[in-house]
Amino acid sequence: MIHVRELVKAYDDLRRGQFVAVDRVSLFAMPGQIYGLLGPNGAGKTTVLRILSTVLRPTSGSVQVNGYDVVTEPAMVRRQIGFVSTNTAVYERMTAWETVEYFGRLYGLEEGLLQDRMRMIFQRLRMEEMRDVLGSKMSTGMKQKVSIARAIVHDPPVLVFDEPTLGLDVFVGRALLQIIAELREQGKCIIFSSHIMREVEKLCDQVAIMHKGKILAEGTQAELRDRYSQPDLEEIFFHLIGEPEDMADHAGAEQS
Amino acid sequence: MSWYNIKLILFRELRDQMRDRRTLFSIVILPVLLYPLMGLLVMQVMQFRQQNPARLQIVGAAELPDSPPLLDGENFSSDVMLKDWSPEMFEIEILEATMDPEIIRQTAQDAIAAGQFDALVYFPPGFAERVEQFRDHVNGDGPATTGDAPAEFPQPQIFVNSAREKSIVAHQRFSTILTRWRDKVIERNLAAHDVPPEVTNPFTVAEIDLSEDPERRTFIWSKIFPFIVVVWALTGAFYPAIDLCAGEKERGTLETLLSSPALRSEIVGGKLLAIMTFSIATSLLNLASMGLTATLVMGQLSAAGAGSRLNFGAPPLWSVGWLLLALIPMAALFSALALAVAALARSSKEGQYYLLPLLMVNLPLVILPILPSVEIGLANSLIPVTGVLLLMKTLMEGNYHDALLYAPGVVLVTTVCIWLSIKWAIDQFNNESVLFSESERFDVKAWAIHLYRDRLATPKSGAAIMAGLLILMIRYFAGPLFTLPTTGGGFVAYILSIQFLTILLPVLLLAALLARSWRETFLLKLPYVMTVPAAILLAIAVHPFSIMLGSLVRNQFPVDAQTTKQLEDCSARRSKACRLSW
Repeated sequence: MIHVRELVKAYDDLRRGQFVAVDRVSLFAMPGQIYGLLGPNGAGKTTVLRILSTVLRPTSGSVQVNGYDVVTEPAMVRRQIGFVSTNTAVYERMTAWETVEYFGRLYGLEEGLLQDRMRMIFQRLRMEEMRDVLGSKMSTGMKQKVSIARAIVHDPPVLVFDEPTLGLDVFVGRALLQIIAELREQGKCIIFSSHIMREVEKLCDQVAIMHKGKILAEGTQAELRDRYSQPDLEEIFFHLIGEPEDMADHAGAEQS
Repeated sequence: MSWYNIKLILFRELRDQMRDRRTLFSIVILPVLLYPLMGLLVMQVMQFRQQNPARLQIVGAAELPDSPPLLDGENFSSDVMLKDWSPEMFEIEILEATMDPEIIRQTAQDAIAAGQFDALVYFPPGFAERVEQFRDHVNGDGPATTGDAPAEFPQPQIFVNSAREKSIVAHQRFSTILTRWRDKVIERNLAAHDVPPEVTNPFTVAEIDLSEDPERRTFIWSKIFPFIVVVWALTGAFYPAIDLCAGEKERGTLETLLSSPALRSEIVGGKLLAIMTFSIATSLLNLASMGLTATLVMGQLSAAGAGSRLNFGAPPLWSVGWLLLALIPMAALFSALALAVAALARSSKEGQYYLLPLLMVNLPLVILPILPSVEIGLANSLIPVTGVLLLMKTLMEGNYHDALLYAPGVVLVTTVCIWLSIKWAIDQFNNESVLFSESERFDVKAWAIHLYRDRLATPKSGAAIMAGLLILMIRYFAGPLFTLPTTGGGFVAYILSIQFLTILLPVLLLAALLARSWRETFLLKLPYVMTVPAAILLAIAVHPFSIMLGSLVRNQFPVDAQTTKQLEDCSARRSKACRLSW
């Protein structure tokens, strides 16, 4: 499970000075649940997930992943999670098999177990044909499959997906969402971040809508619909953060 | 820290780099091809110089004396040619008639410019007659007077174009011929006077080189090795470092690795060892290729009789052994530096820009050991890089006593430097602003505002180092403005004003710009009881200590009297110029 309390992340920015990317965010995700983080670009979703994966350190607040603290026990936290992000690419000069095997070894899996896990994963993700393909020769969909294989090779209890369908065609995107749904069935605790409403609507049990580093609303989809008297997630989203025209004005103002 | 993880990362990085064509090219293919190609080029130049015929036009051949003969038909006389020279080395066109000295220059210029000849040799009217007269005069028969100066002697001339390689070669060859022919003329003149030719050369100095062949080769290689170590060990480390840091940032694989269970220190360890491997491999391949090429080229030159005085064969085996010993710490130091610097870069392109400053910083440290008369000593041994190179040179020369004496200092300094570089690299990998910084347009105004707006309670260590450098710079430029007074009161005013203007003022300005709390920055609080006497003691003791230190430095790095005088003159001129400008 994931327990985030009053998480703050601030950066030093040359133009803006102290910039708060994540502002007192709290969330709680359980095993067997997909927790969706929904928000526009720049909302702070990736920063939260990078802190979960211990790549970034929080400015304040506490984050626990499967009982381990991200600040005091980062190495143990990394063993508990599988992290797939648009920023976590695959090695161009390694084959699919070599990449997954490398990370499996870094996770400390025994050789026999590792080979069994890899065979099972390659079969399940239908990756046998691309086993010896170099990363540089892979399509976006193939790379994303390798990333997932790499993230689940050690069978982690927690999985973090940051915009996993970005740049994928509809077929591969659909297959990927099915895989994530299967992982939930296996009892994994999953954090799923996206700005695509339909994906979140289809997949997530619990949803948090983020904007400008803050969580504006959180709950199950039914709870959110009731609370804001809106028919779907898209309407709730725009009800909370403003209409697209306002956003365009806002983006223009931010750029200037 | 797990060695298993370090090993895993190391082997992955090695495999990754071995699959990169750019790395393979710069590390394996370039050194293997470069030196043989250079050797080939040298051979081509030598061959050109030896085999290409020199095209000469001899104007005024009728003015040549009959004896001793310069020409034999269409060729030079065999007496004036070198032993291994053949007539094919010259293509000669002989014009019996001479020309007017006024037009010969233009004729030669046109002929060489048109490519008809490489050089033109001109014998003026009356040359043969004058040579004969001179012999008769020496013999006591002729009418020539002793008042005839050599300048009045009609001189032959050779017209060349020193901007043309072929013309230079023709000049060199003909000069050799002419010198030998002149010697023959002198011999004949002396013989006519019954004077033995040896009279012109009463004694010769026999040159006896006591060095052995390996010793000479060691001497040459000890000058070359520092460049091999630094240039190739550094460049061999730098390109993989850029690819393994900035390149991985660009490709997005660094974050994949950072989210794995490997610790940052393990990641740095694995990458560092991989970079070191490439650094050492690059140096060794260059060395092997260079040694092999040198052996082959020298073999060829020796066979051609041109390399007898040169001794640039392969380095002796024990020299290579000492090189290997020096190469490991140097590669470790450069690899750690390259890794830390490459971590700073946001992209591979940005990383490339950091190579030159890194090379420039190291260059003086490399040049110092190869300067004549610079030998290992206490002070030199404590200079990073220079100490290792001097130790290597000393070991190569077989001076084991000095090497053992200064080795502990070299080892200590090098170990500290390597440790600091590795620590810096690890710090970079723990620094979020370095790892996740994004490219943005640099704006001086925004940066200056950021410095003031986001200043902390106390300045950072980088700002403190900058303050130190600023003080040194101000003191250097402001020094000539102050003249040393002769009175006691003037001396106190001098010390106070120079210290206020060049030390206190810049520090106060920097503190105003970079620190929010002057109280914390300057530790403005009541001191402990023991601090006061300690401060007084320090104030009294520091000055004599600095003088002692200065004297020690001058003792270790003595400056000769001529340089001292030049520096004093320069300083005096600078002082005068500064006072005038004020």
